[in-house]
Amino acid sequence: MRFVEFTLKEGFFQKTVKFSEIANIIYSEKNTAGKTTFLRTMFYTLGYPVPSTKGIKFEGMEFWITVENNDKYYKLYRHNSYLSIDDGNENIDYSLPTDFYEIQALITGCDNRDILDNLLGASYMDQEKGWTLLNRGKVIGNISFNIEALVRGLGGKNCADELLQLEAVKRQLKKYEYMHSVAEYQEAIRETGEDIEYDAPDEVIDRRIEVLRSEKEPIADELKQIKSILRKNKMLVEYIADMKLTVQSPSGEEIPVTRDTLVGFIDNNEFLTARREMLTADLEDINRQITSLEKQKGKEEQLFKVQTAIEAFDSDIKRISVDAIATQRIIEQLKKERQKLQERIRSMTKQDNGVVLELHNCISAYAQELDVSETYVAPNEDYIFTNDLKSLSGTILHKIVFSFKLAYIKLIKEKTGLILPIVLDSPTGREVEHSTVEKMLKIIQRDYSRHQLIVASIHDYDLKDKKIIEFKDRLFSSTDLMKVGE
Amino acid sequence: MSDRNASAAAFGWDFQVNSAMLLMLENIREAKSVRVEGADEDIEIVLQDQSKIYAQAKAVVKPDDYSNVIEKLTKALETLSLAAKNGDGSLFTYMTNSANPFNNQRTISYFTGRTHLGYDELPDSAQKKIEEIIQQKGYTDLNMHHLDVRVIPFYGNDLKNRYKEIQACVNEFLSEVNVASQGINTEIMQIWQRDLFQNATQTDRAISISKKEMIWPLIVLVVDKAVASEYKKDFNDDEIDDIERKYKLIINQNTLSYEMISRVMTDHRKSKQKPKEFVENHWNEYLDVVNSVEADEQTKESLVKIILYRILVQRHYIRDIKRGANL
Repeated sequence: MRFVEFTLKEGFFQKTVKFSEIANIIYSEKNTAGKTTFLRTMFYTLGYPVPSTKGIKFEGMEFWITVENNDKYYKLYRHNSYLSIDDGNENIDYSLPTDFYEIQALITGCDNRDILDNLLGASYMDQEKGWTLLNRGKVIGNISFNIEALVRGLGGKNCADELLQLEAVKRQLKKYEYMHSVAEYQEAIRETGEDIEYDAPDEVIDRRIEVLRSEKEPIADELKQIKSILRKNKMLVEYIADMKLTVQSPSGEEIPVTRDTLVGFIDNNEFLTARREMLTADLEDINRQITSLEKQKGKEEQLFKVQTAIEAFDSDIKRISVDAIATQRIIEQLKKERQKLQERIRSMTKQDNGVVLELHNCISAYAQELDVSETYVAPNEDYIFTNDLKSLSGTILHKIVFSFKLAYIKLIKEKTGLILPIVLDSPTGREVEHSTVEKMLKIIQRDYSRHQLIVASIHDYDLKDKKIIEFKDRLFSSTDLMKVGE
Repeated sequence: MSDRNASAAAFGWDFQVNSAMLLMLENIREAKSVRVEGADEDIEIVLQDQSKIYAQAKAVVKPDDYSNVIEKLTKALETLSLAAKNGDGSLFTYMTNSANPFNNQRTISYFTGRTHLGYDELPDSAQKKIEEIIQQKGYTDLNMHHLDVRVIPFYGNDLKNRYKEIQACVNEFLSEVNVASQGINTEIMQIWQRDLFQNATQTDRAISISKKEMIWPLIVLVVDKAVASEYKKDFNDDEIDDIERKYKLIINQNTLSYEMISRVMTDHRKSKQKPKEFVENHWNEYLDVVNSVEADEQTKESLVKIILYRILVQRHYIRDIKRGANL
């Protein structure tokens, strides 16, 4: 498959690029001229859900691309989710993302989804993620690459059932994990004491106020009575004193009858006064408590009014009954099941699959040619499924990534006949040395001469039959202004 | 920070109030009134002869934190020295809850538990410390030999623990005035704390309470609790509590009205009988006071007996406690 001609249009600007079928260098002096955007839009036009780059919204633009595969030409047009293909005989309309596989099958001649899913990762090397994407991970945006799927597809293995099961388990696991996080959330609001009850506090306070009022009543009654007794005693004594009586003691002493000489009156009066003060204090205590409770009630009411969205959410969450422990147990089980399924799929993928060995051999050969010490590429066939990238230093990783890519492309060609274009975005950069890149490009031109090569770079490379497509300043320059009426 | 200060201040005020109470109880016979003032942590006890006990109560929130005790002592001596200028001070007391009020580990054994030491009884190093402060700061109005030191264990957030020693003082006082403290001791302590604390915090943080105002609530409590328990022994009647609760107002009315008290006391004096005898022999002469009560005859009898017994017994308690407190 080759790219023949690509046109992109944004508003009044339109740019058309014709590609050499052998080697192309998208060249600009500066780094911000839109090379990456240009490469990405090419794949966007093929139907891939490539995310827009900064400042340029793909959704509003129009794209036309002509690709050739097996001597057949397909003219694709894409505008947002609409895509049409003109194969010379007819023009078919498609809608994305629904018709993605149909579109890919038509232009590549391959209908195995495991392979179709991984063509972009094999063919395209993104400037950001491409040079570290070895056997699984994201190519661009959410488009991923997975070596197991590719190997399965190339080896003609089918684990559709297991994959469906795995998907189901993963979906379930996600749901249970959400459930578990609800439980954790509940725990968090409980722990931080933010679980203010908005439903019952008034009732509780009302009940306490009611109790206090019922305690208050007998005290108030008693106080009233004491006051009345005090008044009556006083009236009685004043009445007696007013009579100005005098009594005589056995010793003959004459004593005037007053409040001070009436036996026990002062004590009685003090006693009543003390009791009155005590009851008054008790009553004040209770009143103070009632007032404070009423104030609190008012506050709670206010709180309820200003209950924020988060508080409402919290109180809703709290009502959900989630058994954190049971959920955790189910999650553990699902994880085990997921692992088992993944192992089964992996083993089915590898079993009697010649592709594994072929890939391995191919990778080892290229790695060796690129001076990667044999210690890095383990002789074990399983090495191609490795997860261990961290132990590889930058330069070595880039070389190994490159070897993997070439192996994918080679095997895809051998197994499906599809000759993928090789698209490299800014291969020189970071730890990849210019000389290494030249060496890589030489390998491509030597072993992959039938594959179209497109390199975006601020460097020029020594390539056979190269076409230089130079970008000035921006993706669209003034010369790209669409000529009206043409 | 301000929160901590506020709670430390509240703790200090609590200690001051309780110290005042304790000092008042220890001097109850000679005392006329107690005055507590928040601003200078002053306590003043006015005695019968118009002289005064000046006290300074200084609390540390953590009993084992000795870092501020000398500073607190110095401040207290300063205020006491100012009070000494008034010329009416018979005693100057430094009260603290620190078990090491002079920040000297060697003398710590002097101050364990509730302690009261006159200046002359203090360990030499403590005497020297006081002398040093007085000389250095010029608090020379203060006569060291009229100075004493009291340590009252007082700490913790659990009030039962915090007031342990205060409660012990209250109990000692109650036994001195011949009151069985059970069921009364905590209540009277709380009433005194309330009268001193709450009233003072709500007004201008200075409160003066007379001996009379302190002792009469105790008499009321004793009459309510102790008197009742005394005549209950003689009634052998389970219903007595019920009757007391149900006819509380009738009982109050008749045991507190001077007219009724005079009537019973005069009859009793004339009869020359013991209270118990008098009640047994004369209760039916007082049935008129329960005329308006709707109850069976048995209940009315019990009610009259309770009233009579209360009137006769409460007098003894009033007399005893007044005597004990020299009121």
